[in-house]
Amino acid sequence: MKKYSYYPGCTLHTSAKEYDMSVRAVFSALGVELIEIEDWNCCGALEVGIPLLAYALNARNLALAERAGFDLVVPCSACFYNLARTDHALRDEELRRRIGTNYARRIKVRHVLDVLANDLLDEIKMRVKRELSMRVVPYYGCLTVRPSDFGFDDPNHPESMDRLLSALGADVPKFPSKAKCCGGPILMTAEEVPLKMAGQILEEAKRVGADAISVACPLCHLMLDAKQPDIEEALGKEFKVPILYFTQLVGLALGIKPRKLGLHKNVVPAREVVEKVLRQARRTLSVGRAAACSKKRERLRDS
Amino acid sequence: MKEMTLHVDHAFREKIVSELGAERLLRCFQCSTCTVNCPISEFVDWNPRLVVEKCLLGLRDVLNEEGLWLCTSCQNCYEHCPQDVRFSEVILALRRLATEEIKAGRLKVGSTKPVFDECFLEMIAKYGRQYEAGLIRMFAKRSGLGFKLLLSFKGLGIRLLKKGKVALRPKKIKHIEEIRDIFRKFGGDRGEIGGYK
Repeated sequence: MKKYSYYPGCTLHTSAKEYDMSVRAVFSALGVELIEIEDWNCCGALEVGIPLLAYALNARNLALAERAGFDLVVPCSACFYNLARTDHALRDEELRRRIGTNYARRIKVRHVLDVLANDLLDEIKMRVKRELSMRVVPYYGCLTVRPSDFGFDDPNHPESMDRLLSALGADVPKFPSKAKCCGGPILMTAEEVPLKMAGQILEEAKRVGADAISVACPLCHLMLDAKQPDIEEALGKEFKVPILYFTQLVGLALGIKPRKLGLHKNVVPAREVVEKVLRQARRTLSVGRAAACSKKRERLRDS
Repeated sequence: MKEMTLHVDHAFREKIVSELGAERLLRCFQCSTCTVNCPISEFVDWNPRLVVEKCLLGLRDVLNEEGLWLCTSCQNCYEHCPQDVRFSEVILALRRLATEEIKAGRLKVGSTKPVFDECFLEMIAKYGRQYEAGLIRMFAKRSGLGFKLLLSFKGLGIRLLKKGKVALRPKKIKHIEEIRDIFRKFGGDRGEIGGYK
């Protein structure tokens, strides 16, 4: 059985519970084990402006993961940025000594999007139970793909989520805002700016006729989902666009129950789009069954 | 036209360049790629190229730039810079210098971001993980925004609470002493903030 270490990060235990639920459900459906690293600490998000402090905090997590012995899977893009950035910086022997870590870079830090779109795509395709009959735009944000020093996709025009969702049968239109910034990091200290930034992303999604936006970062999700009513109020517009974690969509395609994917925890209701997928799946299923029945009848008649 | 002489403050310029992450500052050839790619300068009066110029001239006034506290660390400037100046890292260096000045009572800024970041760090030092509810309370108190802050984020709070997505109690990691140790070594004067009991 394939195994990865897992670093959920603080938000996956609170505001991004549905991300945690859907990541775990998808990996378990694929028969891949995720082992949460023991006693991990906060990565410091984007609030630790002291490089050595940030490196030391993250080196502790990296050392814990290395002890477990498997590559480290990270769902939150800010955590991914911090862990991958530290791993990258720790190529420098001098820096390793300075912060006093025994981390030897024997494991890799991987974003969960990278793992699902690049390592496990064939396994996913093999197990698809329902086609994602919906129009969905992929939104990567910033730290999922930037900087490219330690990235896994194009920093300006990423494609991995596009490829993954298309493989699941979704209609994925061009989305120029896919790697724009949602403004999340300054939400608490300069609210009016991120409201406008996230508003532009929602507007563009509406313009291309998206049923939903697919995201890969808890902060992007908070900004676009839980803050969506505030954005609507500030801009005087109505959006009502469901914001789903891409793992919730993968889970849906794999036939996992919506509740297990935390689809009831999204603030902008996802019910309509989920039902659309389920309805279409039932229709395909019944068409398939009817076809099988008529074939059987033909065979019986022929014999 | 009146001529103006600008004296380069070499000492301050050196101080910036000696900060971790700002070592590449002198490579800048002022092409404005950072400004063009900055998502913030679309909404507020903020020009990264000008900020670098001020740094190159050693103008202390650069620490008064409001945009310093609006950077979202989106890494667009870092990614696109043809000279690999790594402006997003320069911002962190400038924030550190500004925070020193604020603490010494020599600088006042309009933004509450420096206070927020300090609260964020203190939460990590206390519990090893982030504790949002505690963070917001501490931030409301220390920023002086108090009830006003809680009121402006009431909607968000209620929405998250309804979905069971707020932790009402902090979760302390087992080996918190390791985190305290990291803060004592690398947290500047933060190692002893409030004793981190």
